[in-house]
Amino acid sequence: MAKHDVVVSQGKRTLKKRMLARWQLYLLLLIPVAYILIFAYGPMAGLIIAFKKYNVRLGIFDSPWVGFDNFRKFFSSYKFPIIMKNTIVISLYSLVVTFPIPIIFALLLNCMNGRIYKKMIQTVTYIPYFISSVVMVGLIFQILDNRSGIYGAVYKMLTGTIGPNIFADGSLFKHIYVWSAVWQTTGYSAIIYIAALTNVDQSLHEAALIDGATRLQRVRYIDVPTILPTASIMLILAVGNIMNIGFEKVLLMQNNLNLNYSEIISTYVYKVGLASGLNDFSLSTAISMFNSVINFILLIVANWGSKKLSGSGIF
Amino acid sequence: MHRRVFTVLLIATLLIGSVFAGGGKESAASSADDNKLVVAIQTHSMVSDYDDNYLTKYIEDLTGIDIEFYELPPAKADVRTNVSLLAASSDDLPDVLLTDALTPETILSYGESGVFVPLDDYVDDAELLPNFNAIPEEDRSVMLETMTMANGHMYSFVRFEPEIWNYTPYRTFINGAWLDKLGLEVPTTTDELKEVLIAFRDNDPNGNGIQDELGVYGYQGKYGQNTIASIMNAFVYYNDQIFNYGLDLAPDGETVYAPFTSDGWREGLKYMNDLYNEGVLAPSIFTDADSQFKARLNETDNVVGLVSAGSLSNWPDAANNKNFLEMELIPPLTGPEGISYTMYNLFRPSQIAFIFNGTDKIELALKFIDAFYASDTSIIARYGEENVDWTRDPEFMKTQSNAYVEAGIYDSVYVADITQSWYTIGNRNWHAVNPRYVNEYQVNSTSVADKPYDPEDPTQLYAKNYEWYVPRHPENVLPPLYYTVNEVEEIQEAIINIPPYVTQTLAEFVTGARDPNSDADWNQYLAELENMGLSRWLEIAQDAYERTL
Repeated sequence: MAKHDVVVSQGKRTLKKRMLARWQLYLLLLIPVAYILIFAYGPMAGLIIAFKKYNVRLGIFDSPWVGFDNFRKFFSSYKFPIIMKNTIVISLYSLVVTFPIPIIFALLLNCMNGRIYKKMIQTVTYIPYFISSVVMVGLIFQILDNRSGIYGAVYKMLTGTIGPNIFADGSLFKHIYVWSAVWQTTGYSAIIYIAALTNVDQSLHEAALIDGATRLQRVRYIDVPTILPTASIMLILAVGNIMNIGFEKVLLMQNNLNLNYSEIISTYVYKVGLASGLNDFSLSTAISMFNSVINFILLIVANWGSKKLSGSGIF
Repeated sequence: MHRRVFTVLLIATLLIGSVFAGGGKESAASSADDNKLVVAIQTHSMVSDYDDNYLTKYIEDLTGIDIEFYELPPAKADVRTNVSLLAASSDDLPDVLLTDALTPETILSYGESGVFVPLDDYVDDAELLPNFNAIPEEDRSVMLETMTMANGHMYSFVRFEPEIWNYTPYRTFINGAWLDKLGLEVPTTTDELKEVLIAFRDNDPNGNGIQDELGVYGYQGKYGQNTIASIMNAFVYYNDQIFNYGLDLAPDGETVYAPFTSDGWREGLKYMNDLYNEGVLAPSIFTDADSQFKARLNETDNVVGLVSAGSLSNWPDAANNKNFLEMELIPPLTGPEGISYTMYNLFRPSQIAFIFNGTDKIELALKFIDAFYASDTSIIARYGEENVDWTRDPEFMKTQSNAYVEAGIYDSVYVADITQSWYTIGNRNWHAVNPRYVNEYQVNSTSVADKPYDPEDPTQLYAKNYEWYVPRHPENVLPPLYYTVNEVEEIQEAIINIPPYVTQTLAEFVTGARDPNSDADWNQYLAELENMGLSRWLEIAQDAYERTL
C-alpha cells in the first residue's frame, strides 16, 4: 500500500516535469486539440438557435428565445412522417447490405491464391471509392438511362423495345442508392478486414490443415474470430451514423417522381434552411439537432450492447 | 440535378461561421485602391469569361472602375444558398450583388435586417444617377414601383426589358414531318392531339423500325420546356410557378385562388394521365434535366412528337438542325371547355442589382449600376461591340425589317444584330445578369443583319408568336405580390412546402401514383394542401393583391 502511494504521489509531482520534458509532443497535440475545440465543440454553441427565432441582424445571442417552437413545427409538419420513414428505411437498408458485404468480400479474397491477382482485385475494387458523388450520380444516370445507357442498350437488344424509365419509379430509389454504394465502397471498407486477416498467425492455419480442417472450417474457426472485434467496432460506428445518409448523393438523385421515397432529413434541412430563399435557419438547426440526438442515443445503445455481448466497445 | 457538391461544404461553413457571426463588421474591401468594386455575380452557362469580357472592359473604360468579380453559381437555389451564407457571415461582403434569383420575400427580409442598403435616398439624385433619372417618367415609374417593397423601401435596381418574345415562352412545337408522313392534320384540340399522338406511337414515323417515339416530351425547366404546364393551360390558366408560387386570379378576375385546386386542374390531370397510360407521354418529363432534354431533342432519329420550348437554342444551330426543321410551331391547344391559354409572363422589371450594407463605396456602386442605364450600354450589354456585333448605321438600317415593323406596330428597326453573339457561348456579355433599360420599341424592333425578314422561315417566329400566343391569357393575371415581413412569417411554411408539393403531386397524378379519377385521392390531396396552410395563404395573398389595386 505504502509503495503504491509513493508511486502515485511521484506521478503527480512529476506530471508537469514529464510534460515539460516532452513539450514538443504536447505542442504537436495542441494543433488537433485546437482543431476539435474550434471546429467541433465551438459550433455546438450555435445549436442554441434551435431554441430561438434566429435573425441575421440580431445574431445568435441576441435573437429572441422561442423554446421548443421549432421542434413542434417540425413534428407537426406533413413532411415529418415521410422523411422519418425514408431516413430510417434507407439507412437500415444501407447498413444491412453494406456492412456484411465487405466482410464476406475480405474473407473470400483472403482465401484466394496468387499474390498479384489478389492485389489487383483489391485495387480495382477500391478505386470507385475515390469518385466524387456528383460524378458518381452522373455515372448512374448515364448507365441506367433507358434510351442511351448500358441498361437501355441491353434491354433494347434483348427485347427490341425501349425499357421502362428506372428513375420514374420512386420505389426503386433505395435500391439504386444502396447498390451503387455497394459498388462504390465495398473495396474500400474491406481494407480494414483484409489488414486484420493478414495478422492471423499462419501456424494456426497449418495446425488446422494437419487436423484435417476444410477450407470452410478454417474460415469459420480462424478467420471469423480474428476479425470479430474489428467488425463489432465498425458496427458500433455505423450504427452511430445511421441517420447520416450521404446528403449530396440523395439530393442529386432526387426528382419529382421519387421525392416521396427520397426526401430525407438532411435534404429537407437544406431545402428549408438555404435553398428556399426564406432561410429558416432555426428550423433547420432544430431538425439537424433532432437528427444528431437520435444518432447519439443509438451510438450509446450500440456501444452498451456490444460491451455486454462481446466485451469490446469504443468507450 | 442542378445542385453542386459544395452545398455540403457550405452547410459546414454555415454552422461554423454562424457562431462567429455578429463579430467584426468591417469590410475587407476597404483597403487597396479606391476604384476597385467587388461585384458578386450569378454566372451564366453562356458566358465563358467575366474578366476577359467585352462588356466588363467597356464598363471599366466608361466608369474608371476596376471590377473584381465574385462568381456565384448559375442555379437559382445555389445562388440563394450562397447569398444567405454571405449574409449570415456578414464580414468580407462584396460591394454589389447581381442576381435575379432572389424572391421578393428574401429581398424584403435582407433589406429589413440590414443586409442590403436602402436606396430610397439615392434614386432621385440626378447627380449620382444621371442615366437612371433620364429614363422617361412613364417607364421609370414602373421601375420604381417594382423596386418598392411592402415596407415602402427600395433595395434593388431593376432590369427593364419589355420583350414581347419573352411574354409567352411556352411555345408548343409538334413534329410536322411526322404529321405529313402519316397524312394527319395539325391538332387544334386536346382530343385531336391524343389521336395524333397515338398515330405517332403506332406507325413508327421516324422510320427506324423501333417503337422509340416519345410523344409528349419536355422537362421541368423554367423557360417554356415544361410541356405539362403548356397542356394544363388548355384546362385552366396556370403560370407554372413563375409568379406567386403558382397562385393566380380566379376566372372572376378579382379573387386570388389556387389553380391547382380547381376542377380544370383535375380534368387536366385526368387527360394527361390518360396520355400517360396510352404510352404517349414520357415520364422522363419529370426526371430529366437540361442536358438530357437537349440530348433527347437532338437524337439522330428524331424521337420527339410534341414539346414546348421558349428558346430555339434547345436545338443548336436551329436554322440547319434537321430535328428542329421537322418541328412546327402550333397555336396553344384548346381543351374540352374551350379554354386555350398559354402562360403569360406579365411584364415586370426584374430586381437584379443590390448593394451590400457595410460597403464604403456606395457612390462607386451607384455609378457602376447607373452606367448600365445609358442607352449605348443597353445595346452593348445585349449585342456586344458596335459595328462588329451590331450596327445602327442609318443607310444599312433602311434595308432592315422585322415581324413587328411589317405588322405596322413600329416604324423602323432600332438595331441590327450582326454576329448574334447572344446565342453562342462567349465573352461578349453577362447574359442579362445586369441592370438595363430599353423601352418597348427598342427591345422589340431588332433584326438579324444577314437574314431578311421572312415569315415562312421556321426560325423567325415572332409574327406567329405575336398572333397565336400573346393574346391567349385571361384578361386579369395576378401581378407579382409583395408581402410584408409579418405576412411572410405567417405564410412561410406554406410557401416552402406547397409549391414543391404541387409539382410532385402533379407528377404523381399524371403517372398514376395517385389516381386523378379517384375522389378519395383527389380529396386527400386537397386536404393535405389545406393542412399546409393554403387558405390562410390565399387570404394574405388577397390582401397583398388588393394593396396593388
